[in-house]
Amino acid sequence: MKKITHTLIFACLLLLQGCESFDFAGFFGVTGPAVDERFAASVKLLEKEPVPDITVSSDEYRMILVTDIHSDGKDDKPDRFVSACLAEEGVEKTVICLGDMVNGRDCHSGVFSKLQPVSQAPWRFLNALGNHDTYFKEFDTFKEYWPLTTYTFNVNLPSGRKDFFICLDSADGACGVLQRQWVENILKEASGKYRNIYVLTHTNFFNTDNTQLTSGNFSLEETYDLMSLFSTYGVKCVLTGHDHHFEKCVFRGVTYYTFNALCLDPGSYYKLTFGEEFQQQECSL
Amino acid sequence: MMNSSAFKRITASFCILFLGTTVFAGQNREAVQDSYGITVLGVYDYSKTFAHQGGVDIAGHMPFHTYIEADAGFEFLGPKILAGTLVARPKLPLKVGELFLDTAVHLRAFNSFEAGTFALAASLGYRMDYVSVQMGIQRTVLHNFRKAPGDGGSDIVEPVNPIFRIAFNVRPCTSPWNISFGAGNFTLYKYERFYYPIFFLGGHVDITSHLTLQAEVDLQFSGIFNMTAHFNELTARAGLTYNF
Repeated sequence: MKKITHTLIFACLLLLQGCESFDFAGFFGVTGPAVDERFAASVKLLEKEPVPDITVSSDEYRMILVTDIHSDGKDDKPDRFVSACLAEEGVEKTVICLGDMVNGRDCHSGVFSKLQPVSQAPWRFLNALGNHDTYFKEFDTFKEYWPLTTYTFNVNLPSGRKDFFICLDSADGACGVLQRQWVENILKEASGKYRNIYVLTHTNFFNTDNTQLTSGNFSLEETYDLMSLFSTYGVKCVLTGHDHHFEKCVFRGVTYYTFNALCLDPGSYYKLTFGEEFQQQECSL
Repeated sequence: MMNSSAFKRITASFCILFLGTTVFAGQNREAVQDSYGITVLGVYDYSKTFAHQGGVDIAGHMPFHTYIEADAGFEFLGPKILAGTLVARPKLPLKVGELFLDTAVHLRAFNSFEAGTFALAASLGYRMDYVSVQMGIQRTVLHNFRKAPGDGGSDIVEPVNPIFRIAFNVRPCTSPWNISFGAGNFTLYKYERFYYPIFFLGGHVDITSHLTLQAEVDLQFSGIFNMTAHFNELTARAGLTYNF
């Protein structure tokens, strides 16, 4: 009995301390700024300095997407990804990352430094915040490199039209009240003015297979709420990661993608084609 | 708003199902030992999605036989949410406690979203005086009530969502008053995903041989056990059960 008690106490202490990958203390309470707080800070920054427009040379353009790198800053996955990006032809020099860059404590500086060749001019690196990016209060380090968690940007097309991108913070598995109101206002304003509207966020929306047992989502109520917003205001696609497994679902005219993770073996990144229609091409590493 | 005819059809179907099962239960009440009951509860709900809402829950408990009972629950929350669940429960009394199998059909319709959850659930449970545990799976359909040309495959099917519930009583479960607490990702009015446990604290007291006063508070957190936990929803219920 004594042994069992000691084991249980040890297990509880371990849970509270967390391990190298998961911040167990955060599973039961807030360990850093919550989504509303992060949103307020991000929007303040965005008002001062909006994300610059991207101008492309064709109405059908390609960008690179990666998600769930889960690097400890020492593995070679980020290096191999950078090499692959630099070797790509016919793509805009733009990488969209849908979060979870790291897998543990004190990893952001290592990963961001490895990604430098595709995160500095002439490349652009557009990041969404993932749950692992917030564990162990790591958001403080994350924001030194990428301070925006909620933002928008335009892609200017040669035809004079524009595509509109909205990046949302779903690292806590919730959109939050303030961000939810903000995105509704943004969508109201944007609806009908753009060729296509895309939403980028970390957390996937559905559990259509058994892979999601270890990855939380939005509550059902919030899932419906966001889906309703996206369909009402004509969002074309919602691009997510988090689950590590590819999934494509259509609900009321909006296509929801969940992309494979780079951390898997083989890992994946994607070449996305944004035209009248959206297409994705998986590349293995 | 939800297609009004669809919403009316759902409301009518629930009413018919609920009344039907209650009437059926009433006709068979002599055949069982446990008592039939109808519960009416006032509900207050605060969620990050809908803010403040009020509503009514109506539930029926129907112990048809020693080996089978049923529950029906119906929730009307503000003008926005309509939910209902029918549970058929084969059970096997043991020397200590009782084994049971919950088989449930659940619908939670969101009027303002013109969509809702349709779930089929099965869970095996074991109930003792002080503890009850239950585990199983639900097949969830995120259903679009407003299908239109060009919507594509509009219903999303989540074939395997685990469900669980664990409840503790401070007194034996047959006591005239009791306090219960625990957690699970479903109630008679709501079936959630695996990572959205509903923590509950409730109690009841028998006022007379026919009337029971009961109250419960449910709490839900987003991101709990997997991401970062934040308060998401609080539901408080209070009302009376009439035991036949």
